[in-house]
This record gives sequence, structure tokens and C-alpha cells, in this order.
Amino acid sequence: MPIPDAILAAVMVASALGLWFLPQVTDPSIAFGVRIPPERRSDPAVVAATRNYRLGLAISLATGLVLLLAVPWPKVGLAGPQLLFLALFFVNYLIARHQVLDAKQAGQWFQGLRQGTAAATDPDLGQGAFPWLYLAPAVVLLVLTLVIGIASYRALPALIPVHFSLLGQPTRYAAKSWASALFPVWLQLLVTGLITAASWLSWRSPRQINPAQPGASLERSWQFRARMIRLILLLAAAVNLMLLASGLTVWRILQAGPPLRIVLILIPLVAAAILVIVSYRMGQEGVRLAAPSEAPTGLVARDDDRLWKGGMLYFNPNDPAILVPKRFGIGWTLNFGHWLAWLVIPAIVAVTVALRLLVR
Amino acid sequence: MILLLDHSKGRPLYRQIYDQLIGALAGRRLSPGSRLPTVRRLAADLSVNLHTVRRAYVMLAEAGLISLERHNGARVLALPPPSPALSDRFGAELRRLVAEGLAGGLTPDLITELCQQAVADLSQPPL
Repeated sequence: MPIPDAILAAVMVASALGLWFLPQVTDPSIAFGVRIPPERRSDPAVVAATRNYRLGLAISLATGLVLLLAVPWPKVGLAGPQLLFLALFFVNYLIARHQVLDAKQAGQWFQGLRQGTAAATDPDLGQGAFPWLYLAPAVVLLVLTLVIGIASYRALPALIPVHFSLLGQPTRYAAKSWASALFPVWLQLLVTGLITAASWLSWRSPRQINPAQPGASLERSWQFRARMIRLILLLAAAVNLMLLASGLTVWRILQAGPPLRIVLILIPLVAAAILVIVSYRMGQEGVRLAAPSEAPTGLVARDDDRLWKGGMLYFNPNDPAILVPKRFGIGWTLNFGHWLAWLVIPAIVAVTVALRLLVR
Repeated sequence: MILLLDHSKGRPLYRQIYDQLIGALAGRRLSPGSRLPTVRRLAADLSVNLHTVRRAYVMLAEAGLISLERHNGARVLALPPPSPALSDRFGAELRRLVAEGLAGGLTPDLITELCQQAVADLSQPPL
């Protein structure tokens, strides 16, 4: 099996594994994006939906792998099998979601329950300061890369490789200029900037306090954020380290054979894997973390399905937040009811296109 | 502090917000100078209408307990000096409430005990 295929297949299997366990690590009062009373988690309809979801996931994975391994990827495009896998997964998720929705409506699950909401009057209640210190490794690596790049500029040839295959073979060259020679630095700036902005907005995002156990859920959410944001900032450092190494090969300071290239690709992948494993152990917003026991208030989280399109896309024009905790998943998602959210994706595309034009 | 709303209860939501905030002010769990969330933020967190939060804030502002700021935020004010008007109004409200209790068959001892309990509970310093 060619190495790029092996890496892509491993990524696909890993994502399937993550999606397999996802129902177990999200808020017990949410099943496939549907708000339910927590005790309905073991309702036969939810159990059946989970079983079908996992069966569908296995079929999606098998289909994606067959396409990836049986058809050479240049024919279907690098992302073809991944996109097919994701599309199948999404259909499968929607089926499970509708199963739960139907049972909830038919059984009137919220009838007679006291639905509540909770909010902290202080947005920083129980939360410390943003861990700026954890950004330092990424910044140090960025500055180091910049300094080495500037120092080696004079000795560079007239043509510089600016685009590489997955295994690091140069596939495109550009004329020597500051724009093309310092390309790894521009990428580092982009990645570090994006990760810092996303981390800061996540840190400031509203915390969803469970009205059944407000104090405990606030404590869990704080523990979750503190660890997640630190790891995400270190992930930026891992990406910058890979880009530093690729800069060293572009600037002909380091001769990188295939073994080193694989190590380079693995650095951010391993960092991302650690982030995912730690986040799964904590659960979304820390739902799996231990917290001091608290007398239940007798309330259940209010049915807020109308704010989540398809149980996944948050659309609430009345919410001033841009990022909010995900509903089916771990981490944060955009509030598409906020006009700025619609600019985020075009802005990322624009910066990426600008970077490509830079090295023409 | 954490605000907790019961959406199924008959008590109006703005009243629940007002009651809890004034309870926190009484017990010094909200100290002078501390900031309250904007109307929009709190309305989104509590999943209520903007007017519901605004109404509770305006009631507190009219009582001289918070000041409304630009961008719909609010800040807790320093404790106002006890005014004769407040103590008159308080006395009248209390008389009405005591009359209701006595007419309903509560003993004077029990009413006194309940009043003392309320003062003790509400004026507790922060934990």
C-alpha cells in the first residue's frame, strides 16, 4: 500500500472511531442533537438510534475505505473518499436524529417536567485568565523560523519549491523572492493567528450551565476549557515545528529523506490525536469529569431544539456570541445567526488564496 | 452568582430574575461596582426575551440598586443610605403581609420566627 493511502486510511479509521464514541461523550440531555430529559438516555428509542447510527457508521467507513484503497486516488481526487465517508456519515446521523425526534414528540418526553435555564452573572465566574503563556512555544518557533529564513535568503537558488506532495516531494516551484522564500513563515503566521483567535473566542464563549446541577456543570466546563485551550495552543506549536522543519529543507539546511518526512507529518497528527483523546476523556464541556456533588435542583435543561438546525448548526440571531459549545461533538461551533460567522469561512478562503498568489 | 429560571412555574420570568438578583444584592453576593451581563447576553443564556431581562434590570435601576450602562450592560451601585421613604413603604408592605398571615391563622410567634429566618437567610455574607 502506498504511504499516502495508508495515512489517509488511518485518518479515516481514526475519525470513524471518534464518531463511534461521540454519543457517549456528549451531554446526557442531548441525543443526536435533540434535547431530551437525561433519564431518556436509556429509552429504547435512543438505544435503537445509537445502534443504527453505529451500524451506518461502519458501512460508511467500509465504503470510504473501499473507494480509497481499490480506486487509485488521483482518479477520484485526494479528498474524494473522505468526502463520501463524511456525506454517508451525515445521512446516517440525520436518520438517528429523526428516530429520537419522533419518539420524543410521540411520547411527549418533556410533559410534566420542570424545564429550566441557568446563567452566570459574571462571565468569568470560576474561570481564570486566558493561558497566554501556552502560546509562547508557537511564537518562539515562529520567530526562530523567521530568523533562519532571513539568514539563509542570500544563499538560496533562483527557483524555490513552494508546494509539496503529502510525502514532501516538491510539486511546484516559484521564483526566489521574500514572499516565496519565507512561505513556511507565512503559513505559521496563518495557523498561529487562526488558532489564537479561535482559542480566545472559545474561552470567551458562553458556558452552558445545566440547570439540574448548575454549580457542578460550571466547574466541569471550566476544567474542560482550561485543558482544551492549553492543548490547542500547544497544537499550534506542533504545526509550527513541522513548518520550521520544512523551512529548513526548503532553505537547504536540512536534507530530509522519506523517513524524516513521515516524522514531520506525524508531529501535528500526534499532537491532534492527543488533543482528541484528552477531550474524549473529559467529554464535551467536561460532562465526564468528576465534580463536587450537588443537590439536584429538580429542573431539567429546557428544550432548545429550535435554535439548532439539524441538531448541528446553531442559528440564534439573539445570541451575541460568535462561538458556542458544540451540540453533537466536542469543542465549539459558529453561531450562524451572527453576521460575523458568515465572514469567517470566506475570510479563511481569502487568506489561503492570497497565500497562493503570493508565490506565483 | 448563578441565576436559575424555572420556565414551567407560574411566576413571571422577569420576576424570577429580579428576585434572585435582589436576593444576591441583599446577601452581598453581588458587590458594589461588579458588572452584570448585557441584556442580550443574559437573555440568550436564560433563553428568554430581551424585554424580560430589561424589565428586571429597570426595576433594579429604579430602586437605585444598579445603574444601566451603554450597550445594555449594568453595574451594581454602592448601597444607598436607608431612606425614610423606603422604610415607610417597607413597613406598609410588611403590615399587609402580617395581616394576611394572621387572618389566615398563622400564630404571631410563627410570623416573628419566619421574619427572623428571612432576615438571617438573606443577609448571609458570601461563603
